[in-house]
Amino acid sequence: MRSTVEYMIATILMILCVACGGDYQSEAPTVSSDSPEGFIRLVDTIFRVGEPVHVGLQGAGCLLVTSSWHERFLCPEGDQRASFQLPETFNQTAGKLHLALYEGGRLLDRRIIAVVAGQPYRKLAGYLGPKTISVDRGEIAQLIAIPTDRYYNLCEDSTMIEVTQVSLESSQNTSYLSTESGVAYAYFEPMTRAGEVRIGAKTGTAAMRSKTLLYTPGIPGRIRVYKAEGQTFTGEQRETTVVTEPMTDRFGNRVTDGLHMDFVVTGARGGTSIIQATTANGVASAVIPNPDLGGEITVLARVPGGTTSNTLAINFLPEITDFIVSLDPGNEWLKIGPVVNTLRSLVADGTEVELAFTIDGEKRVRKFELINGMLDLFLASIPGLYENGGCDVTISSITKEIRWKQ
Amino acid sequence: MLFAGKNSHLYACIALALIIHGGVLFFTFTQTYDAYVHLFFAGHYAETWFETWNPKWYTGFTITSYPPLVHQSMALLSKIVGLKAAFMLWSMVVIVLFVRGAYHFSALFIPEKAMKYAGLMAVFSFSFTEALHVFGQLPSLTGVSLLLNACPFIYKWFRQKKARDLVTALSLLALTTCAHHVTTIFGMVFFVAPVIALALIDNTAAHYGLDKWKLSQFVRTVFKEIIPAGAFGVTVIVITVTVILPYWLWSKSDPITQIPIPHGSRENFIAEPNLGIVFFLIPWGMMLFALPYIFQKLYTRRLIFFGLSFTLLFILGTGGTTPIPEMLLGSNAFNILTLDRFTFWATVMALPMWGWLIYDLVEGDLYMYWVEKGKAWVVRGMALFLLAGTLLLTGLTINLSNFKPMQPEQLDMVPIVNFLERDNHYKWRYLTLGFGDQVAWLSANTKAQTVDGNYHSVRRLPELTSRAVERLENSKYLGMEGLGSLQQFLTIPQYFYLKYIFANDKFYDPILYFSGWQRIGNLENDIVVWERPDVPFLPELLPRKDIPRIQKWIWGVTPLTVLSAAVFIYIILFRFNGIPFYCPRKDILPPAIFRTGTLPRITVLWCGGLLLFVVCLFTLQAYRNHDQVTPENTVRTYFDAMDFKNFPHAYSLFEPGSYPGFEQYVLELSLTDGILASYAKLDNLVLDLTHKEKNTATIQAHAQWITSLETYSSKHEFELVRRGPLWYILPFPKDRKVPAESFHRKTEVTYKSQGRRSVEVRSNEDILDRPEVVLEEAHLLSSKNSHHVIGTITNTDADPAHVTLQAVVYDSLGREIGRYGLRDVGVHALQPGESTPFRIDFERDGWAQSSLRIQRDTALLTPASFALFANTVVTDEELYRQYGLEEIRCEENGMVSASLYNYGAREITVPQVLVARKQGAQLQWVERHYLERGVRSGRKLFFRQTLDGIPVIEARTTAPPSALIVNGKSMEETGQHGNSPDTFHVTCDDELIFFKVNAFVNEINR
Repeated sequence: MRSTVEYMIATILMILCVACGGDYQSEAPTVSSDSPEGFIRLVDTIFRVGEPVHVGLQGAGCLLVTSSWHERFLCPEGDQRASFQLPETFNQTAGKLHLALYEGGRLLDRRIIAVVAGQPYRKLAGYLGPKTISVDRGEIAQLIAIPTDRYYNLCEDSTMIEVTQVSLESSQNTSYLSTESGVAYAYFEPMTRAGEVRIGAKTGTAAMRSKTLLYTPGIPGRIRVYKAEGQTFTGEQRETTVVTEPMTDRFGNRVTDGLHMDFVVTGARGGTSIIQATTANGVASAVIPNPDLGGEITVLARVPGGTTSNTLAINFLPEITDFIVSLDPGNEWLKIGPVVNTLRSLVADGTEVELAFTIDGEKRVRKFELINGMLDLFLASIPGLYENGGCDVTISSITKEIRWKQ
Repeated sequence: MLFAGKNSHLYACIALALIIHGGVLFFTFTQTYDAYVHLFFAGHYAETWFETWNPKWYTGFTITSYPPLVHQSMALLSKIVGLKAAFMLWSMVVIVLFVRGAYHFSALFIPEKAMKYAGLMAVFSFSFTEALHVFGQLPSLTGVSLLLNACPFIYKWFRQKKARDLVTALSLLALTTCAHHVTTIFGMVFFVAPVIALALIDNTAAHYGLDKWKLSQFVRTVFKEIIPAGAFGVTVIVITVTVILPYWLWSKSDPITQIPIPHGSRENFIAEPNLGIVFFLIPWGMMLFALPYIFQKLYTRRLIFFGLSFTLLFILGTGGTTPIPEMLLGSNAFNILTLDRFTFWATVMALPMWGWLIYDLVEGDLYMYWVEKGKAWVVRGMALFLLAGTLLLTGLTINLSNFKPMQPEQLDMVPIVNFLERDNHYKWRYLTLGFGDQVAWLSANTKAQTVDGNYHSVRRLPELTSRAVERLENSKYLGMEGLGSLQQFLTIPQYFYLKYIFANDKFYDPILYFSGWQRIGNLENDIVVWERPDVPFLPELLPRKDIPRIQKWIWGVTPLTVLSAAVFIYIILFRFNGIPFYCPRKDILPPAIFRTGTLPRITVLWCGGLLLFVVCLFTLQAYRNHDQVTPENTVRTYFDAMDFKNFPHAYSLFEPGSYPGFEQYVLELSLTDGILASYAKLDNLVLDLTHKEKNTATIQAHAQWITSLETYSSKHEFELVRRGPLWYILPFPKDRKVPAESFHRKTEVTYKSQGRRSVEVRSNEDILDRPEVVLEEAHLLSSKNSHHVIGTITNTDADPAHVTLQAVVYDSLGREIGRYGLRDVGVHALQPGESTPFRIDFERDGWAQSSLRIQRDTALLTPASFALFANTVVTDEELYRQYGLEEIRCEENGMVSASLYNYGAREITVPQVLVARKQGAQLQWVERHYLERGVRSGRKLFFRQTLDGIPVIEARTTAPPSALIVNGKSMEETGQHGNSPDTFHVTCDDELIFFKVNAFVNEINR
C-alpha cells in the first residue's frame, strides 16, 4: 500500500514537473552521464545499513530513487540540491539503490549505490529439528542458524558462527560454521549415549536461544525375565508376577519408559496367553493369573518386532489334593466339602466345581461355585442328570466319580 | 371500574392472559423446543443487522431462510433488555395480539354476548398454551395472531369497501408474512378465503334476506365481486413476495433437497400414543368434547366455507393416523410439512364456537333448554366439567416440560464460552452432544462455529442432508442412522476443522474414545470436553454465499418498516377516526335456534361417550402397565427402571428380604460396568414366558440395546415368585470370585505435554517432534459393495503417538476419488513399540453421496490405486495397558475364545478386541469386537466370539512403499516398510489370528 501511494505521489510529481518544465517526451529517455544540464554527485558508492546516504545534484532535474522494495521521487530545492540525505527507509534494507536524475522526462544521469548488510545484532535466529533422535536409528538432527543485522537483513556470507554443545558428560564442544546465502547449518549425528545435549550458538554480539537435543534410547538389546517372589500354587484367584531385569539398548542406555511389551504365556493345558506390559525405569512387569491345573507354564517377553527374552519355566503345585463328596441315600442331594487346600484352610469362595454327566451320549458340564469351601447341590433340579448311572465331580483337576445309589 | 367500557371484556381477557401466560413464561420458555433457536436468530441480527450470512451453524447458512420480523424485533429490544428478556417482551406482545385477534375473529361468527367467552377460552386455548410454553413457536404464534386480527378487516372491506379496512388488512397480512410466511400462505386458503366467502354470503343475505337467499344469488354476488377479490388476492401475493423477497430468492436458489426429517406429527397417533397426546389430544384438549357442537355450528349455510376449511384442517392435523392427509397433500409436502400446525389452526378456528358453547352452557340456549326441562344441574355439571377440565389441562400443558422433560437440564454456558474464548479455541469448530436445543443458546453466546445446528432446513453438508437426522447433537435418539451420521464427523474431523466436542451425555463416550478422540477434562458445569489432536485451524477465509446488497437492505429494512407502517395505520385509523372494534354483523347473525333439535342430545351423548372412552382407556392402560400384576410386567418394569437408572424402583421388584438391603443391591450394581450396563439405551424387549405355575415363573428376556458403537442383543433369564397379587424377581446369582489382592500396587507411566508454555508467544521450542511410526503394510480390498484398506502400523518412537490415518483412493487416471479416515477398527494412540492392525472402511453409500468429497458419478468410482497417510503427534493420553488375553483358543464353527484379564489398578469400562487374520504372510482381514461387559481390576472376563465372514474380495491392491506416507515422508525414503511386527498369533484352520486389545477406561471408575 505504501509503495503504491508513493508511486502515485511520484507520478503526480512527475506530471507537475512536466507541467512546470514544459516538454514531456514520450520516447525512452536518453542516457547522458556528462550532461551539462545536470548530474548526480556522490560522496561514496558503498554504504553500510544505517549509515546516512548523502547525494548531491548538479543542475536541473529531480531524482528518482529505486530500491528493491520501493521507489521515490525527490525534488530538493535551492541550497539543499548541493547535498541532501536520502530518506532513512533507503538505508535500512541491504541491496542496491538505483538513482536516476530526470528533467522534463529526460534522463540526465544515473548512478548505483550499494547498501551492505550490517553486523549480526543481538538475536541469532536458530531452528533445531528434529529435537529428538534415537541412538540406534541412524537419524540426524539439523541446526539452522540465521544471523541478521539490526534491520533484519541477512548478514553477509562467511559470517562465522560459534556453535557450542554441552554433551552428556558435561564436556563442552565448540565448532564453527560460516554462513552461506545468509544461513549456516550444523548436523548432529546419533551418539551412543541417550540423554539431553544443550546447543548454543553466537556470532559477534548476537546469540541464539539455546536448544535441547534429546537422544532417546533404542530398543532393548537383551531381555531376561524372572519370576517375582510369591506363591506358585494353582488357583485362578491367585496370581504371579513376572519381571524383566533392567533392560538396556545395545549401547547400554536404559530403555525408554512406556515401551510396549508382550508377555507370552504357554499354559499347562496348551492354551496361550498374551499379557501386555510397559516399561518403567527400564523394567517391565506383568501379572499372570495362576493356572487351575498343576504343572509347568512357560513365559517369555518380547518387544513386538524386536527382541525376545529367555523362556522362563514356572512350576505350579496343585492347591487342592483331595476333597470330600457325599451323596444322600435318595440321590437328591450331593454334598461337597469342606474343601481344604494344601495350607489346610478352606479354599477361596468362588472356586469352581464342575459337574459332568451324559445325556444321549452327549457330555454335559454344569459349573457351580464353592462358598465357604462347601456346596450343597439339589440334583433333582438338574434336568437329565439321572439318565445315566452317575456323574463326575471335578475341582481343580481332581475328579471324583459319583454313582447313583440303588 | 378498571375494565369498564365497550371493550371491557377484551381488556379483562388480555389482562388475564398476561397474568397467566406472562407469569409462567419466565419458568417455561427455556425448556421449550424452539425458544433458543429464535434467540439465536435474534442474536445474529443484534450482532450484524444487515449481514445475511451466518457462519456459526452447518459451516455457514443464509439467514434469509427464515422470515425476520420476530427476530429483528427481539434483536432491537435486546439492545435495551438483553436477548432473553426481549423474547419475553415479544411473547407478551403475541399474547395480547392473540387474545385480541381471537376476540375480534369470533365477532364474525357468534353473538356479542358470547364473545367474552371466546376471549376467555382464547386465554386458556390449549393449542396456544402448548405452542407457547412447550414448543416456543414465537414466529408462528405472531403470524397467526396477526392473521386473526386481519380477518375482520378483510371481512369488512368485502362488505363495505372502505379503503381504510383494505389498507389495514393488507398491512397486517404483510406483517404476518414478515413474521411467518407459511401462516400467510396457508392462512389465505384456510382463513382468508372462508372469510371472503362469508362476507359475500352476508352481502347476499343482506340483499335477499337472511334465510331467503339462494345459491344462484350467492353465485351472482361472487361474480360481481370477482374483480375485487382477484385484485385483493393478487395484492396479497405481491406483498407476500415483496416484503420477504430475499427469502423467496433463497428458496429458489437453494431448494430443500435433503432427506425429510421425521416429525412426530406425521406419525400414526394410535400406534404412537405418546405422539398422539402431544400433537392431537393436548392441542384439542377439552374442545374434543365440543366437536359435535363445533361441526354443527360450522356446517350452516352461512359458515359452510369455514366448516369445510375446519374439516380439512382437522383431517390434516391427524397426521399419519390415516392415509388421507398424505393423499391430500402429496408425499412431498406431507414429508416436509409439520402437520401439527393444521391442528393448531383448526383449534384456533374453533375458538369462537368453543366460546359459544361455554356461553350456551352458562347463560345461553343450552342453559335455558335444560332449565326449562327442570334439569339445570345437567347443564351446570357440564359447564363445570368443561371449565374445570380446561383449567386443569391448561395447567398441565404449561407444566408439561416438568412432567416429561423434553430438554436436558438447564446448562450454564459460561464455562463453555470461556473455554472457546481461551487460547484461540474458537479458531476450530466444535460440536455439542446431549445439549438439546440449548446448542442454539451456546451459539448465540459465542463466536465459535459448530458443524451442527438447530435449523435443519438450511443444512448444506451432504453428510447431514443425506440422512434423516435433524441434529448430530441428539443422534442417540435417531438410531443407527443418527449415529452413522455422527460417526462420519468423528472419523474425518479434519475436513470440518472440528476439534472440540462438549458432551453432556456419557452415552457418547465410547464412540468418541474409539474414534480417536481424547478426553481433556470436565468444565465447571460438568460438561466433558473431548479433543481431536492434529486438526488444522479454520482458514482465515471461509466460503460464503453472499447476496446482492439490495436484498440485504430489503431484508434489513422492510420488516420493521412494515411493522411501523402497520402500527401507524392502526393508530391513525382507529384512534383518530374512531372506527368501532366490532364487525357489523347484527344484521346477518342467525337468531338463537338451538333450544330444540338434536344438538343438545348429540352433545350430551358425545361428551358422555368420550368421557367413558377416556376413563376406560386410562383404566385399561393403568392395569396393563401396573408394574407387578404379571411376570411379564414385572420384568418389563425392571428393564425400564434400569434403563432410566431408577435403582430404588428396580430394587423394589425383587422378592422382599432376598437382598440384605438396598445398599447391598446398589453396591453390586456399582461394580457392574460395561457398554450395556453404562452406555446403552434399551431399544426393544421381547419376553418369553418359558415356565409358569401358580406361584413361580421363568422368563427369558431378549433385549435389544442401542449403544453409540453398535446395536447389541442380550439374553437374560429371570426367575419370579408370586407373593399375594404381585410378582417378584428372585435375585441373580452373584459373582463370588474376588481378586487375589485386596489392595493393588501398580506402576504406571504417565505423560504430560506442557503445550504452549507462554501465552504471548508460540515458540518453536513448544512444538514437539512428530513421533516416528512405520506403516508396515497396507492393502486395498475391493468387494462388490465396499472398499477397505487394511494394514498394520507401529510406533517406533520413544514417545507415545496419536495417529491420524487417512486412506486416499485414485482412479485409473490418478485422480482422487475418495478419502476416509480410521474410525474404530484400530488403536489411535500407540505406546512406544506398540503395533496395531487397522481397517479403514469406504462405504459405497457414503461414497456416492459425496460425503467423501468425491465425484458423484459412481461409474468413475472404481479405485485403481491408493495411498495411505499417517500423521502423528505426541500424545499425553492415559494409555492403560495393564491387561492381557488369557487362554486364547480356536473353537469350532469359526469361533475364538479367551479371557480378558485386567491386572492393573483401573477398571476397563469398554473392552475392544481387534483381530487381524492372515493367510501365510498375507494380511486378509482386520475386524473388531466389543465385549459387552467391563472388567474390574484384578478380574477376568471370559468371552467367546464368532469371527466375521470376510467379504468376497474382487480386487486386492497392495500399496507400494512410495504410497505409504508418514508425516509427509514415504516409507520408500525411510526404508522401514514391509517388516510386519512379529506379534503373537494362534493358528485356526490355517489362518493366523493376531489379537490386539484396546480398552476404554472411564476415569470416574478409577
